[in-house]
Amino acid sequence: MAAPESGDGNNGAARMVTLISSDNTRFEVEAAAASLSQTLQLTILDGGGGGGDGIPLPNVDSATLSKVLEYCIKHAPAAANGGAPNATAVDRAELERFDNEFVNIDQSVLYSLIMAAHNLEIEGLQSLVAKKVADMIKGKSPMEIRRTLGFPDPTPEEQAEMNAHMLEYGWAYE
Amino acid sequence: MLQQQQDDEDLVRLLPDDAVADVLRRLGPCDLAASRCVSKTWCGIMDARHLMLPHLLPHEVGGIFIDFNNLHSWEFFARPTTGPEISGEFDFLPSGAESEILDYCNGLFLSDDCVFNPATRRWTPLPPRPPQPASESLYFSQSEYLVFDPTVSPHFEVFIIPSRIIYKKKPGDYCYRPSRDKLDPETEQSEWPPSPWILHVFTSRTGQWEERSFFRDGEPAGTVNDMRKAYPWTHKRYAAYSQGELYVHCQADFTARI
Repeated sequence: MAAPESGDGNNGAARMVTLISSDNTRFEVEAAAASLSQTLQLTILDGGGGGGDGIPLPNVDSATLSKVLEYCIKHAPAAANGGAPNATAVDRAELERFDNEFVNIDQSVLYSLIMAAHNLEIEGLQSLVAKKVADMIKGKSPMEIRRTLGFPDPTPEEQAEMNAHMLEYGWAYE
Repeated sequence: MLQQQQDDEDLVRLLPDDAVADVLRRLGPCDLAASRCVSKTWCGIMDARHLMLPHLLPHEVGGIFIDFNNLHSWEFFARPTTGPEISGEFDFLPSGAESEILDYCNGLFLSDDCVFNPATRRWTPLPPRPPQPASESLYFSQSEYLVFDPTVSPHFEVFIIPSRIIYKKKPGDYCYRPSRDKLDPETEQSEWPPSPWILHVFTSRTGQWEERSFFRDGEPAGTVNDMRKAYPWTHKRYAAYSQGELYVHCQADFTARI
């Protein structure tokens, strides 16, 4: 996904857009970074989000949006290189270090990020958070998964259903 | 603190299905199986996207079963050293259940009382078959066919198909009994196969027998009488299941696609 080339792309000054979180905080960010979001990309290509107008994001609060933008700003240069085919090993290692650090966060923040990543359709971020949750699941029993991910304790009815499934898929634990 | 926990609980339930699917797609078979038990919602997400199926599929032919001379004595033949040992002794079944193998499909066997998998040595009982109406049972003999395609669904189906037209003795033949052998002119002239063809189907999805109507696509193969003349014997005919369709070899060498 290449960053959109706006008309003034060659004169050195990067085009900026403004995003407005659900709690009315304004974030000014380079168009190239915001365009990692498929949802925003079209609006930005159409020239939206510049000047005094901002793009309202009613589903994303300011804490989450600032975290999302941190990711986008870090990944925008690589994305602009078309998935960074000529990135050096050092660049790639640095991005990987950043990613690992980035998802080392509270569960509630992680869930808010998942929802924002899906809302805004930021492919790289979607993969990153999905991988994080998958890693949290690996090697655990259904009950442990529930506890780890913060599901409430199962009702007796849910418990019975879980037991039935355990019978059906018992081979997985053998 | 309690409030925080409450919020987390709400959050995990609010995750969009696609986001959960994205997570589940990254898991191997064991973790997937465990996740399937986590909640009804997760189970539904997994089934709707067939996430479990690739892991249930056999990835190679493990061997073949051979029933010598139809003696109901099954032996499993496989190349040495491949995979787990599978036995033709179905001794894990309740006694008598293995008495007659009626059909088989993609690794599952259908017997009188149950459907079983010799590789996993697991079996599931079949509820009693719906009775065949007396008028029909004098004319048509039923065969049962098992349909199972793990690439489409983890569930199997059993079809009862009254596909064999019973041989009737003619007046004057030895042991001719009008009550049994008299031909019914109306049935003799009726189209074969009929449309709609109402078949009893068992599906493991619901665990019950149900009636399903099938409508003929094209001309009938002939009348019941034509079929009788073409081939008077009533052995069970073979069927093959492929890509969602069951092909049944019927009398007079026509094949019904269901």
